[in-house]
Amino acid sequence: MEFKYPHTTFLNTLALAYVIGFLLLVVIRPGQEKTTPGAPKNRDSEAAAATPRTARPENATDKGIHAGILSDHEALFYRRIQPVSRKSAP
Amino acid sequence: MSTVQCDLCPKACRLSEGESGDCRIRYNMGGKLVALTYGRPAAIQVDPVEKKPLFHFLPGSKVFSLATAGCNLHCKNCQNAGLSQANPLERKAYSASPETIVASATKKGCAGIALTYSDPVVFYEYALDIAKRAREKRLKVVWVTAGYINPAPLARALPLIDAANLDIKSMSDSFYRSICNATLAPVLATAEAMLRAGVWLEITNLVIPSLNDTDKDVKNLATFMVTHLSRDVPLHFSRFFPHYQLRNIPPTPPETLIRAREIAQAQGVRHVYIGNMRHLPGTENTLCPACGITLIERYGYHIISNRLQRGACPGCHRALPGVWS
Repeated sequence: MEFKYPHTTFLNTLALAYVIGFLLLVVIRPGQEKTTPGAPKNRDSEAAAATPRTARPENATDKGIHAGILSDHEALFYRRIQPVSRKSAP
Repeated sequence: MSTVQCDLCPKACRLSEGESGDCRIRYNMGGKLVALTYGRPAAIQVDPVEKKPLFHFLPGSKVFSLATAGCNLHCKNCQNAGLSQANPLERKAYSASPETIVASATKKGCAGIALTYSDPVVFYEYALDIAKRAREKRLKVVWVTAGYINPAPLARALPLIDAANLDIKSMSDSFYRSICNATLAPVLATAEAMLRAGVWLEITNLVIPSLNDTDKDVKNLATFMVTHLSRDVPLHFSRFFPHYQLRNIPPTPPETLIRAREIAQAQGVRHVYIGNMRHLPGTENTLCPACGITLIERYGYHIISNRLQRGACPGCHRALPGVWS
C-alpha cells in the first residue's frame, strides 16, 4: 500500500505528544504541591486541605490520615470541682 | 466520679467523667482533662500569609497552616464547619508531633506556622508546643482566632505569638450569642491584650447582610479600634458567602463593603481592606498614610508590587506599621 502523506502522521503524533506533555507538566504537575488547592475563594478557608496531595507533614505517614485515633495528652487550665451538671451555654 | 471545670475559655464547661466540652475536643478522662486532638491535625496546607489575612506581616511569604477539629464557637456562618464542628472521632486526621510540624514547615520554606482554620484556642496545648519548637527554628507563629479565651491562658500564649488575625464578628453581644454561641466582651479583651503584648494584630470582620452590615455596626467597630486599639491596626472587611446554617442569606453586595470601608476610614482607621472580593480594584492595596502613594499592590493573595524600602515609604520615608522582615 502506498503511503502518500507520512508527514501528517508525524504531525499528528507531535500534536498528541504536545497535548499529553501540556496535561502532565502544566495541569497535573506531578510532585508539585498546590499551595492553594482548589483555589478556595474565601479567606482562610480550609477547603481542600487535609488531603494527602497537599502539604502532608514529613514522617506523618506512619499512621496515615484516618479517623478514630485520639490523644490522651493532659490539658492545661482545668481543675477538679464538686460534681455538677455540665454548663453548655455562655 | 471526678468532675472537672475547663478554665481555657469563658464557657467554663463543667465535665463529668466521659463528657467533652462545648468544643467537643476537651474531654474528662477519669478525672483528667485531656486534649483529644493533640498531635492530630485534620487540615494542613501551605498558604500565602495574605490568605489569613495578614497584609502587614511578611508580605508574599508562605505560612505552614494547620488546624485540628473542634471549636468553642458555633457560628452559623462557619465556612470551615466540616472541621470546626466535626466530631474529632469521625474527622480524619494526621499524626504529627510538634517537631514534625516544625520540620515540615522548615523543609517547605515557610516563614512561619499559622494555627488557623478552626481556632488555636481549642487545640491550645498543641498550639503552644508547636510555637515553642517553631521559635527554636526561628519560624514565626501566627494565630488566626476568634479570641474567645480566658485571660490566664491567653497571657501564657502571648509571648509565643508573633502575629494574629483576630475575628471581631460584630460589636453586638446579641450577635455573638445568637449566631456564634459566645459573648463579645472576652473577644475585645483579647484584642487589647494582644496589642499590649506586642503581637502584630490585624482585625477581620465578616460582613453578613441583615445581621451585622448597618452603618452603626461598622461605626461601632471602627470606633472601638481607634479608641481601644490603634489607628494603625489593619481592618479587613470580608465578603460573606452562604455557608453552613446561613445558606438563606445572599453574598454581601460589593457596595455594602465599599460603604463599610469608607465609614471605617472616616472614623480614622488608616488601613482598611476588602477581601473575598476580586473585582474591587485598589481595595487590597496598602497606601502610605502620609503621602498616599501605593506601597503594596495586591491581587487576591498575590503581591503585584512592593515598593516598601526597609519598612518605609520610598516617597516620604514614613515608616509603615507592620512586620516586614
